[in-house]
Amino acid sequence: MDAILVLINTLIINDLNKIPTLTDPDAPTGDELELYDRFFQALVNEEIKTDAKAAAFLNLEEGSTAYLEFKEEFTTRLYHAILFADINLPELDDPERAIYLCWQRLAVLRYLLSLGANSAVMQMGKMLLEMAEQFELVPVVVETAMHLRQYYALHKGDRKRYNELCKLIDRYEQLGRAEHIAQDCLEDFSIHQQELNGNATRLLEQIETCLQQLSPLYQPQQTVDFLFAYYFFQIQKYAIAQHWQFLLQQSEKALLEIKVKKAATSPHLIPFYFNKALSLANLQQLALANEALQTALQLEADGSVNWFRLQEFSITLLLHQAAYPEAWQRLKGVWKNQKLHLQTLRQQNILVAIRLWLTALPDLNQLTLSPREKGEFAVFKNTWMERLPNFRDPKPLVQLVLLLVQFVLFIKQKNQRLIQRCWDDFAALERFFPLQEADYQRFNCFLALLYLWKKNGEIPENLDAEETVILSRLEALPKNFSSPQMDLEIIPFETQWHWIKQFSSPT
Amino acid sequence: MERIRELSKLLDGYKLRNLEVLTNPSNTPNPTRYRQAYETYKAGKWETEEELAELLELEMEGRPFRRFKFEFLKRLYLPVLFIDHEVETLNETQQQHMWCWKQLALFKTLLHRGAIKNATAIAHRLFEVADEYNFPLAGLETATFLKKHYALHEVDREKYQRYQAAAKKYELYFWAENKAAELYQLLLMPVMKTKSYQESQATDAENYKNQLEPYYQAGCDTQLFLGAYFAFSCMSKMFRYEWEESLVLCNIAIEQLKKKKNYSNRILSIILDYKVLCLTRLGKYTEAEEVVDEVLKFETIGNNFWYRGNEMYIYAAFQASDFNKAWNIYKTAVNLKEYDILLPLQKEVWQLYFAYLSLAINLGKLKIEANEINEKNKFRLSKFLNDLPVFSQDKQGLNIPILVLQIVFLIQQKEFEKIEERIEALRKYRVRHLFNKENFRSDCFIKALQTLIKADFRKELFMKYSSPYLKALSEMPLSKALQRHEVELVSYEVLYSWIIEILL
Repeated sequence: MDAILVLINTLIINDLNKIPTLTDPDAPTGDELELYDRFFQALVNEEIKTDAKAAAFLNLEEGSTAYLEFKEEFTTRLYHAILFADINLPELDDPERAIYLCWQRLAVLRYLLSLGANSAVMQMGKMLLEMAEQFELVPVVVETAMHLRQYYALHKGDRKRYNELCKLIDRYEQLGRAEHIAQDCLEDFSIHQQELNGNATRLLEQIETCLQQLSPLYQPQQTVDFLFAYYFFQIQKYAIAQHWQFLLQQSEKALLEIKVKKAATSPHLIPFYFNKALSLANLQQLALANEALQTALQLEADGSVNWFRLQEFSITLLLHQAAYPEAWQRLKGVWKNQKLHLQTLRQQNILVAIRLWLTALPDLNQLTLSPREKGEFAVFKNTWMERLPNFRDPKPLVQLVLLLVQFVLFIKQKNQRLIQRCWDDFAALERFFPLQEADYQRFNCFLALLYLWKKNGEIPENLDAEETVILSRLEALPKNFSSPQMDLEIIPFETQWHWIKQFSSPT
Repeated sequence: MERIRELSKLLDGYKLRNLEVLTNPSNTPNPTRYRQAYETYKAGKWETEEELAELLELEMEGRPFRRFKFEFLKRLYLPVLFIDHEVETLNETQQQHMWCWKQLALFKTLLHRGAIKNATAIAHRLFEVADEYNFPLAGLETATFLKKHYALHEVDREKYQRYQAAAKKYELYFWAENKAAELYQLLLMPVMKTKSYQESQATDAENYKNQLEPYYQAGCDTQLFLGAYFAFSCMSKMFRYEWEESLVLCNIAIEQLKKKKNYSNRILSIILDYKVLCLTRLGKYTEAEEVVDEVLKFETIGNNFWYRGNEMYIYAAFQASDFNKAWNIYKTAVNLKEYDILLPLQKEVWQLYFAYLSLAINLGKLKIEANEINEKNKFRLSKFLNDLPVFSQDKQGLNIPILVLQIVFLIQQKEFEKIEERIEALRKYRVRHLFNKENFRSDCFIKALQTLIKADFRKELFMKYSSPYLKALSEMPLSKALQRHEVELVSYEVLYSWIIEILL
């Protein structure tokens, strides 16, 4: 109660001016607040997107002082509204919230200190310290502990508490220093990554350098930001080296250590769930991999970049398990998401490519759709199936996937003219893909099978000997779900080949 | 426009009509309970927890009332950030630091609520101000954010390196300030419980200054750090009671601190306080008062630092035997609302001042209006002796002026039997606690008091028997004595003269 009384008295003594916010339930209507409200609604409804439109809305000239003043005042009110907006919400329902609440309280604490309201500061300081410790906010812990220490030392002469706080600050100093080193490593790596442009050897060297700095500092008691960076480099190392078993181990270890921390947010966890899924998928444990992805998806906000990436991977895994109805249901949800158009071109393309296959599956007797769904399909089918799209992608992924889909469909239709068109289109597209690279070995094997099919006049009986050799080579080549080739292998090549053979058969 | 759109989208999810700022004027017919509680307190309708619970018709021990208090407290925090800091009592640096704290809170709020464009814009501005006004935490936080921004988002190696260097600098400054504060608190902590002399404190001060030397050499020049660094330098002499040398060091420190473009008055006032003490101990009361005036100009009346400044002010007045001034300072200080929330330890100092002022009143050294003291606030020796739990434990420090005062009061009241009892106790106390060189003056004065018995409380005999001790006192003037200043609020020479006046 003391803290409440000191705060009220402080506020009354200092005779606060009105704090301008965006809305004020007590304000009389018809004043300028109404204008701010209308302007705000117009922004929210996206009626105003540019300065020109905003100025017109206000009947002001775009570059005029009056307009600039309005903008400044409006922004200030938005800032104030943001500070006050979530006062009704519970304190600690997520770490992000706890972080900014702690910083707000620390600022309040400093204000109160400067006003000399020491006793209120102490009560508040103790609560703040507890909250900041829970969420590993090193600067807030240190700054608050410094003020509490000052109080215990210089007002109470309490050496025991002083020593305890010194120890606490020392511990957080170590945590803070480690966190900064980790942060520097991540940033250096990011800059190098862009400069090295995917040079795996140099990246591995850079990762080793970072790990040399971080490994001596590693212990599970470090902050979640440190642990994230440390395990980030561990998984990068094993992912680049394609050591899937080690990648799985490190991802699981990271999740084990980070999950227990209150400060852990979804961005701290999702990369490790993703890599767990990736390693499990590459170890052929597709169902378990999908479980990891589902856990990650529960943490991720709908429509975020990561959400689309996780969904794409999950659908791919379902397709590789031949779980076509589930894949279709999942894709429908993703397709309807309003933020799809905000995603990268690559992300949009891969989802189009996935949809192309799912669109073909009913024709290949692999998926049964309701009449309504068939109607939805028809529109998409007409758009994509009949022609090669003129896509802006420098590597025309969608066209190549479309060709693969068309190939199977046209074989089923036994339409020689269209099959030949596929071959011609492929010749035009081939140069866009570095097919000679190791990453594309499985695709090259599949291509060899297609050429074999072409050479042998589409008579399955003639394929046997050579096919066995190539097919066993294909089957021996492990799938790597992190390789760019997987964008083309939305349906396993073995399955695609099985369908081609099945539909080539005279019976 | 992009930034405004980002903010609007962020706020779109909230019921803005429910946004409540308790301190804003209200005209709603159905105020929330929080607003009701705030408004009614302002109108003086409740003062205690019980009254608030009654007003809200809630059980004081019940969960709903606890919940209410928690939520009410939350609503009182944020308006604090809107208290006007552009006031005369704060200089530009202090105002900018307050601005930085508010912006830091806003920056973190925007950042962790996903308003990245706005957070980035604020970070840029905040960094510039923090850099100009040497505010390590804001510098560190914004530089750390901006270097990440230029490494991961808007990739720019040059800017990245600039903020990386700044982050490293402010990380060093942040920890340097922490170290300085840690050592400063360590040095002064014993003084909170005992005002007795500790020879080791002078050596400690020197040692702590040496511990800060690497940071000083590395260029750390924040106000808080420099304040502690120079304070140790001054204290290494002050704890040896070398007032002339201390004064020189104080002047050097003040000059160095003022040299900085944006110096902090509050940090400066620490050294100015030391200067006041040096001047007072050297008997330069007018100069001391001038410095006190300078210190008090910086502070808001009633805050902690204001009280600290006034302690120095009243001490100088006591030393100058200007009891009228001391009385006025005392009255102003204890009549403020803020006096009630001072820590018990701080209040004990002011109780001691009151006791000495009451003695001066009783002896006619201080004339006050009849209505200034009533039955309620009248000085009572027995109450006074029971009301100083901390000081009375400080056997080699602040318990001395309490015991001395008690004797002088008893003499003034001609309670000779009680004096005899007390003087015997005082003799034992002297033997047990005042054998150190730092208590030389107290030892002499108590020995002089002991001769009262032999002199049978007769003036001439007392003067005769006590004269060797008075001579010894004069050979160790207050300015050279190795004792804390609070021990001899009124100098023993003055107290002696008062006793002579009382005796027949």
